[in-house]
Amino acid sequence: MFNKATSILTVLLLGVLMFAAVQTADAQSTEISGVVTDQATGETLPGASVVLAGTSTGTSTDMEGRYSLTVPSLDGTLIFSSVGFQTLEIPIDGQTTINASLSVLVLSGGELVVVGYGTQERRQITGSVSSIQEEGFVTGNVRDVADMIQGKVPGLQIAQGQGGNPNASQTIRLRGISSFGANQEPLVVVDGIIGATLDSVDPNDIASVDVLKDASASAIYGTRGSAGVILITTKSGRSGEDLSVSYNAYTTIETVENRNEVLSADEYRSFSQQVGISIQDFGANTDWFDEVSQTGSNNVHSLAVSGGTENMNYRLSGNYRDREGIQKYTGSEQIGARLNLSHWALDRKLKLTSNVAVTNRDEALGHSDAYKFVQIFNPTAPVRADGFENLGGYFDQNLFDYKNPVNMIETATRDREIRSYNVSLRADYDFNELIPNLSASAFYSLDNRSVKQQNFYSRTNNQFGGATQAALGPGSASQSLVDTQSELFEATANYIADLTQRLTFESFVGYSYNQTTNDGFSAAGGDFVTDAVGVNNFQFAQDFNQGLGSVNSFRNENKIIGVFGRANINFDQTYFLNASIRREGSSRFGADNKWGNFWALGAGVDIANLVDLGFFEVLRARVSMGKTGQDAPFSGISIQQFAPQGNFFVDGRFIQSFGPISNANPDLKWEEKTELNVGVDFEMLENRLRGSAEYYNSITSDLLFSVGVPVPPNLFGQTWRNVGEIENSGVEISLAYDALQSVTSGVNWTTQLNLTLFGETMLNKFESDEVRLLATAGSPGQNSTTLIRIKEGEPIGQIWGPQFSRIGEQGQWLYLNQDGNEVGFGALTPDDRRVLGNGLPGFQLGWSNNINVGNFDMSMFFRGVFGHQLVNLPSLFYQAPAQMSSYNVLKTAMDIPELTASPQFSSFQVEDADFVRLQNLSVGYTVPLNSEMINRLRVYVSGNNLFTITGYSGINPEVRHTDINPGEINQGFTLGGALAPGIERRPNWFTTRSVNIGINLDF
Amino acid sequence: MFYKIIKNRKSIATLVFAFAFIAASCTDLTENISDSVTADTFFQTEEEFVSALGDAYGTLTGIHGGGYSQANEVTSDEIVIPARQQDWFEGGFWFRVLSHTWTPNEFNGAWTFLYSGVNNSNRLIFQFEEAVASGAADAAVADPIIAELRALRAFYYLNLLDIYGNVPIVDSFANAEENPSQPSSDFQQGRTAVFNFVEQELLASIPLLSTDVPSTYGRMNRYVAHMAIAKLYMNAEVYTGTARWADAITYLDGIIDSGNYNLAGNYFENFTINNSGSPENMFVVPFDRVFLPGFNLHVMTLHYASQATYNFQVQPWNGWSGTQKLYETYIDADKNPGPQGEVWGIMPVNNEAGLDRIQGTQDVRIGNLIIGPQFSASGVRLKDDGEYGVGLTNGTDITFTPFINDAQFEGCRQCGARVGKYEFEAGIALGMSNDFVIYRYSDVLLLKAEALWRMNSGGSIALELVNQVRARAGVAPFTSLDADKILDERMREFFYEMMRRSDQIRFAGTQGATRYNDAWKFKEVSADFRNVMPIPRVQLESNSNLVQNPGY
Repeated sequence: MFNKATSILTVLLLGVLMFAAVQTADAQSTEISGVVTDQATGETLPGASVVLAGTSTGTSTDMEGRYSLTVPSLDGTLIFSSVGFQTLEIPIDGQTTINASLSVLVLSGGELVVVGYGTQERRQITGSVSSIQEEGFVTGNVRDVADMIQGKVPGLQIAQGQGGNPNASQTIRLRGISSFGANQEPLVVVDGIIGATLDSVDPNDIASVDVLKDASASAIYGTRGSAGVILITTKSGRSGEDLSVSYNAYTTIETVENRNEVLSADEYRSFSQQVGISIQDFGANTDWFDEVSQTGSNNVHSLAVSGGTENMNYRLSGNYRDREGIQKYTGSEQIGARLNLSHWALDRKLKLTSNVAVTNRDEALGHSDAYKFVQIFNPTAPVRADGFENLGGYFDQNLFDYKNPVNMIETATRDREIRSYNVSLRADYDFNELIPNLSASAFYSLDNRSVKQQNFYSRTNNQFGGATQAALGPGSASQSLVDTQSELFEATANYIADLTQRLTFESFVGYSYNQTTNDGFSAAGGDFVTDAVGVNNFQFAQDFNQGLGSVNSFRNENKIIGVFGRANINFDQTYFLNASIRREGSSRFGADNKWGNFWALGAGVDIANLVDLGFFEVLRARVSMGKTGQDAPFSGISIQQFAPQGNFFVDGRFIQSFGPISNANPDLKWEEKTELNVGVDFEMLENRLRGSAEYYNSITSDLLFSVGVPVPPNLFGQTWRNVGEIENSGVEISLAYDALQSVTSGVNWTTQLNLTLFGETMLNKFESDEVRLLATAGSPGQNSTTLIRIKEGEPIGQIWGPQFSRIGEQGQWLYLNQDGNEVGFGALTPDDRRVLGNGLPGFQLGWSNNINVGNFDMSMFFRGVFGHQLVNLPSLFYQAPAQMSSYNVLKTAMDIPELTASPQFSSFQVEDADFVRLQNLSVGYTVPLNSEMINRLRVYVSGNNLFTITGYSGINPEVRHTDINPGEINQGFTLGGALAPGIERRPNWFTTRSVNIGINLDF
Repeated sequence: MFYKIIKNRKSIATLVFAFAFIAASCTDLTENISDSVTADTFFQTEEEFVSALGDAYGTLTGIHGGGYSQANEVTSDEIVIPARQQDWFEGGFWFRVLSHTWTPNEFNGAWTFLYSGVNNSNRLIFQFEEAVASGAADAAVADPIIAELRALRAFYYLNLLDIYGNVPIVDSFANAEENPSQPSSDFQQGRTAVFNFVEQELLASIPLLSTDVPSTYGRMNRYVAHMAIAKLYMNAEVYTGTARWADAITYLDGIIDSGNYNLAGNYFENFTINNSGSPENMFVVPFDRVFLPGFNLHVMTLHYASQATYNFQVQPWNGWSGTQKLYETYIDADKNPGPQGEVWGIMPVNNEAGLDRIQGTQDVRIGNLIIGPQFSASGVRLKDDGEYGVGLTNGTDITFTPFINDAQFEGCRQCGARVGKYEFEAGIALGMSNDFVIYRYSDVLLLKAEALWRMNSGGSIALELVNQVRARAGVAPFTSLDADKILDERMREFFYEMMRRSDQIRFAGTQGATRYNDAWKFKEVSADFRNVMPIPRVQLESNSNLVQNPGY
């Protein structure tokens, strides 16, 4: 199929060139020429447009601001225009040389914002778009784009639930949860490549990030836009600019910010005496946290070279990142390179742009479970002891769900390699001579990502290597390789018409073809004669000789095809109308429902243009509405598939049996989100106070989910269906204030505040009004303990369980039943459970301050999230003093010495998790240099995650948008994922703080 | 200005054409899945037919460890899963199951297991019938396969009838209703209808089934179907209110008279790692650690530390245990007369072994349980490096005691005799290679004895049949039969063969309506509506036509 797309690209390019050739042939008559300049500076203006009024005749100026235009006669009027300047009309009056001098457009709101498939002036935007330029990014120890914009965009929630895990991505949610069965993360578009991954762009290469927040803004991305769209624009060179070199580097020290405190060996001994529980005292004093931890570091170097000539520009950059995590032997090393190249040809009518990026990332993933066991491993036990040779010398005890964490991290490796490259080619052609202001473009991109993961558990490993004190284990190894390739072809045509002096019409139409192929291969096996070769030679795994090894491969493809268009009307620079539509189809849906229509409408008015508002310089009001969609989560979801189903014993031998593996659903269709957005933008006090406020309300219907279906007649108890509807609403406020602007003293202080009020995410409809209980606490003994309730008509994220009353005289748990009476566990009925909290927040705050004093600059960024609760599972499992007979316990056990009962879940383990965090503090100094060679030298010190104010007693009060432990509970209902927010699970990394020292150097 | 644009309509037309061309040629959204097959690409060769047949049997791998064994064993007086402090507490799940205080939440596993079998059978019957109708397959070849599938489906329905009583009868794949309802909203009428369906299906398929025993190992041959219908008749009074003892004997005799099966010389020959040679096993799930994994008794029952006894690749879960009552039924000289000798005692004591040696009956079948001090493969005493149990005096050396202190919260970690019926293979991971026994010839003998006893209070034939089984176990013959003797003998012989619940329900209780409703340790007398399980909540939710069983 894709040969077709590439050939279309070629055809289109040829077509473009032919048009150009034809159009240049019929020129005769009189010629007018001249120079266009900026009135204020006298500098020439390249690229300004010159049009003979009332005709399609026009041209644009060259690099020196010169133009020449052939006109039928020396009557009429020339219209000169350029972005950011006021349009000027000059009658020809027989002249053949006409110079024009344009004045700067003083109306504010003229800055360009990247929107889907193009840019728009801020004031023309009627939907909700947040734009962050380079100077607004969170600096310091950042891993990817998510780190850089965390807290900067109202309505955008970015949370690092995995603390200091150096290889974990943040979870990103825009305006709450828009889906729970399909994708919940915003669509990422990098320089036009739709569906790119965040870690394929190095933070140092990013010029701006624009977030399309509401459905009217993202509807142009139709089917994948319902969770919002993050548009990333990378830096490029400037035409006519001399070679410039920029070098940025920093080094980071990363330490533990917060961890679950457990009893020290001495406390373990004394507390056990206090509560009268016999313990095993092995005589040592071990801090298991320390044994698996180290000081983390991060060294980042970035070098960029950019420049350009009259008809081309380029930027070439290389990035290197070397990170060591806070768990021993973890970290990552990343090398990336990017080349952005633009070239103009054919009298600057044709622009060719090409971007190439390559990223190599090697990760040592470490073992999250080690952090589970450092919490409970006996603090009197030695790390190593004689008699444990089969465990590599690491001391161990025969207890369930209990492993020496040092053995875990030192006898096993988990590595991942990510190799990605993407290439995009774009041709824009200006058809000005054919039809003024008509242009067309063709775009092709290839985005390739391959991920290899290797796990190796040696014969002395006690987790998956099978080792015990009594015998060496067989060891185990696995390797998987997944290759994802996405090809995108798009063709668009733009047309702008100044219909009258006051009415401007802009439109574009396009076609998009996106095909993604996933294929992979994996192998796993064990029973090694030696650990020497690790995962690198499966021939050493005797499992394969015995038929016990496993080998798998897979391949699937999916396609998304769309046609789309947008029209913008600008009346008198005061009234604005936007409309867009996209019709799109996905191969994943049922045969009857492959296509969907997604549209948007928006209107805005600049009130300050209509009436004099006194101290308001700008006051814009806008309202918009749109519909977006969400694709199905995986290929093959709507059809019945057959696959091997184990073996069948026939006549003394096993043969492979085949059978269906899924129910079919030919009616499966798009998730659809309809959103209303109302916003106000203002600037006042001589533009010193700027802000916007927005209200949104969205309803997502036909939500995709795997729901229980009756067996019989269905073959399986679960089928993917369109069930349910959720509703989100919220208010977002963004304020920026130039508190101090002193030209004389050189002191500037700008403060910016982002506030978001989230309404509850309501589950308006679900498959039925039955209550669903999901997200079980886990083993040991809590596999049937559900933590979350889902019910139609109620908010998503309800933490559900019995209400704790107190610890009774016999040391037992006592609860309040539905009548308010105190009862023990045995007397609790299901009806006594109640809502104990909600895992989704109600309020989010981001507060940044930028201060410049002379050559010093300082920025400070606070982030806070409020109104959410967390289920503290470490406290559920490891707080009961009775556990001391086998395990170590949390220090908080000393708060409840009277408890003798085993762990049981109740409101006791549900805590408010409001927090405010100093996310980033940075101080920089620009060294004053009078050097021909060095343009700028800045050194800085910054800290990330410096402190957190919270009442939460667990490790990390951060919102958990999604449960890390999806699976199935025994009542046949899928647990976890987005339906079960608000759970802090046990295998959890510490949170960390980091301090960076860095340098920016421009030549 | 507009008219100027229109003047260029030729160019516009060209552009429009270009877009139209693209849009028309690239809108194909046919799904292309390269790594699995869809219905239209399968069932084209004979091998694919036989391979497909396996799917109906494949369901049987769920027979162990899931909802089916939970319903038939844990709710009976044979097995208890104590909450060992944190472990196995599961929010009181297992305690509710073993103490007969369950809710409609606990029994979905058996339902989905059995109905998967029904559905797979229905689908394959449909596909094979279609193949015959279209001429792709020969009726002479297809008919016995279809009969086999009908008998297998009847086996699944027999168990649905036994566990849930009044269940929807879905016998067609093509015309299955989206939300099937039970045969009748009246429980007893509905259950009778299910009974009649099972009977009719078995009667119809028996004449077509193979009598070649060796080639049908692990499959439905004629004798397995005989056994299924005999089981149906043995509990007919429970299911419909009308006893069918003589009919049961007819079909049991059909098995005995065929001469195809006989008692193995050694009881445990039926349960070894390579038990496929047993002359006694009639219907098994031919588990294999490589080819058909799914049998995980070793991890279900053994202590965490027992990993070292067998050098398993995985740590066991310290769960399912035999009851103290079960152990006493073996060693009690009155209940089980036979040679007396030293056996392990009941209660933990503070000696080196952790248990006393006491006098008791030397029944070979005591080997069904693992009791006493535990050692690693190299003979080192196993230790539990935690406290022994609240209020108990023993140390950390592991001894499995028949005594279990508590089932709800504070069960001690080494309490409980462990299920040692199947031989454990050293060095395995999660899958055992022993074939799991569903029907066994000694059951044919004991069922026939019971049916005879039911009809005329015994007689020498019945006594002789029971004593054949007792003699193999090395214990003394009975001189007379009564309900206790028959039921106890069945417990000793068939412990952990998934029939205790059904057996208990067949016998009148001394405190409750049936033996199943009587009280035993950790369980009070239960109401007789608990003799069938509730229709699972999940099923009621997804199918509004279902009616909950009475009492729930």
